Amino acid sequence: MKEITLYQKGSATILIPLFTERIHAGFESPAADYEEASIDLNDYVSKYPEATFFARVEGDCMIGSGILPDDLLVVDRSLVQQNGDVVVGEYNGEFILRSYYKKGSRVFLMPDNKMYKPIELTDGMVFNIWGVVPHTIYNQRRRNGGRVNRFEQLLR
Amino acid sequence: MSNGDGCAIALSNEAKQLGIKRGTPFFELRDMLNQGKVWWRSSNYTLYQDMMRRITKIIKRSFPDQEIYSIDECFCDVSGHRYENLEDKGVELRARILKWVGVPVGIGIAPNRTLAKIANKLSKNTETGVFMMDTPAKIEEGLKATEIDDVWGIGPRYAIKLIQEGVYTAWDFIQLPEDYVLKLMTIQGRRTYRELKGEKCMPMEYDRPDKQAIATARSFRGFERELPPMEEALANYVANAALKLRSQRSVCAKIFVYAHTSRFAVITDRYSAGQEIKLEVATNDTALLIKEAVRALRMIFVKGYRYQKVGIELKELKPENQVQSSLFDRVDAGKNEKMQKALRAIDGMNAVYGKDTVRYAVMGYEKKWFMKQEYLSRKFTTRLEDIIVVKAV
Repeated sequence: MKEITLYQKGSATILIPLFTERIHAGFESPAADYEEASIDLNDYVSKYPEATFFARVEGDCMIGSGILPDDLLVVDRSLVQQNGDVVVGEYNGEFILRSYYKKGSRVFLMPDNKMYKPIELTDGMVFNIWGVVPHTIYNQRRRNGGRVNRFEQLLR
Repeated sequence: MSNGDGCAIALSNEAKQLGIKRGTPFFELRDMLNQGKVWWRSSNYTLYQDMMRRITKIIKRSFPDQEIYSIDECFCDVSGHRYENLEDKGVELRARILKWVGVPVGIGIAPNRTLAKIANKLSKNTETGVFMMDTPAKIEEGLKATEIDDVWGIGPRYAIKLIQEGVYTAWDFIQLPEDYVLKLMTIQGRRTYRELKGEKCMPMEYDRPDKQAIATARSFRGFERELPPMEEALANYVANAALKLRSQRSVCAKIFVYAHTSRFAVITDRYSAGQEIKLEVATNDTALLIKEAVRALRMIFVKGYRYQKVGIELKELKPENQVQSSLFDRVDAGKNEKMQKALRAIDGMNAVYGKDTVRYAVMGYEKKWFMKQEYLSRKFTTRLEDIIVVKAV
């Protein structure tokens, strides 16, 4: 009996086993012909995994974009920022989260929460785009409490 | 800092300007830290390895024939491809690496590996970070700017010899007659000589050959005076080394165990000793290796010293299948097979549930002796709990 594993080189960092099967004289598994590579979220969230980093959110200034504290950000440094992109920037020695707008030669960093004020970049400011955030990961189960509360109110 | 925070091993340009060198010991730097002049970090190989993996992948997209040479160097063979303008391609690649992962790199382009190393070193002084030595004039310029002890393949001992002969630069070196170089420095010296002259003598090594020896050693957190904690540390190093051995499907026939005090201790407190043990049967079984290593340590251990370090080297490696057949009559083959299965199961569990989940009792739990890494940066890219925090405030 001989074991054979074939790999497909995905764009992700890991090799995805296409299928593993034992070749022997007996019955062949009827499913073997139908097996496909499993879905890899890395392929979905980024084109270039080597330029993709993960980050954690602290604060709620982007709540209108559906980004809550503790959410996970996918930061793709291979992307070039466009108007409206959520970006991670280096600002005063910290990483900040805002959305990006360029109008003529003026650059604005906008929050998505009325409680925060916009930033316009001026000459003296040290600011760099560190990466663009194409996707965020929102933990639904961590927010079960709120939903249960709203449901309880309905019964009251 | 080196493993165990002993001395400096990598420096920024600013740190170099302060006079710090590779090998400057930690205690000489402490004052500078207190004065706020320098920052330092313990070695974070997990992070470096991940960044290198990213960088080599980006490079491979441009130059597919790639040999990863070390944790911060790789060679690419561009001879099988046609490029419009190699230098522009290098500049473009450097910019992409800087944008995608934030790491500035140097790119040297030349007819062979030895010259590429020189071009790479010179790339640090160029505006673009890329240096191409593609004409005889540029090669001459490059060789004249390279001191003989900076030439890849010329060790410090030969460098001293050559300087005594009046050979100061790589250019001086290739003015020597070839016979003379051969006599002075043997075949390897001649290979370097020919490469500097533009010939291609070293092929690419796409598959790194398996290691011929595996060594693990660390400095203790402080000093150890007693045998038990040293045995515990040694057992951990053996377990690490044995795992590496199995992952390359090798066995070892010899082990070498050593221990020493600080080099800076006064002469009566200084001690260093090593013991080699030839194994009856070549093996990669952690339990057997720990047993032999501990036996070796007990042979060299002398009470009364403050030990700084213990280490193990696994030697005379060979592929595991070679041994099994030749020793069929001497070893109980069935028992060995069972042990191999158990080891595979242990390695599998440790890979899934974390290092040392299944361990040998002698390896202990507290690791009081564990090396200093007091200034460790986070594992930003490989651990979810260590990823960067972005302020949305």
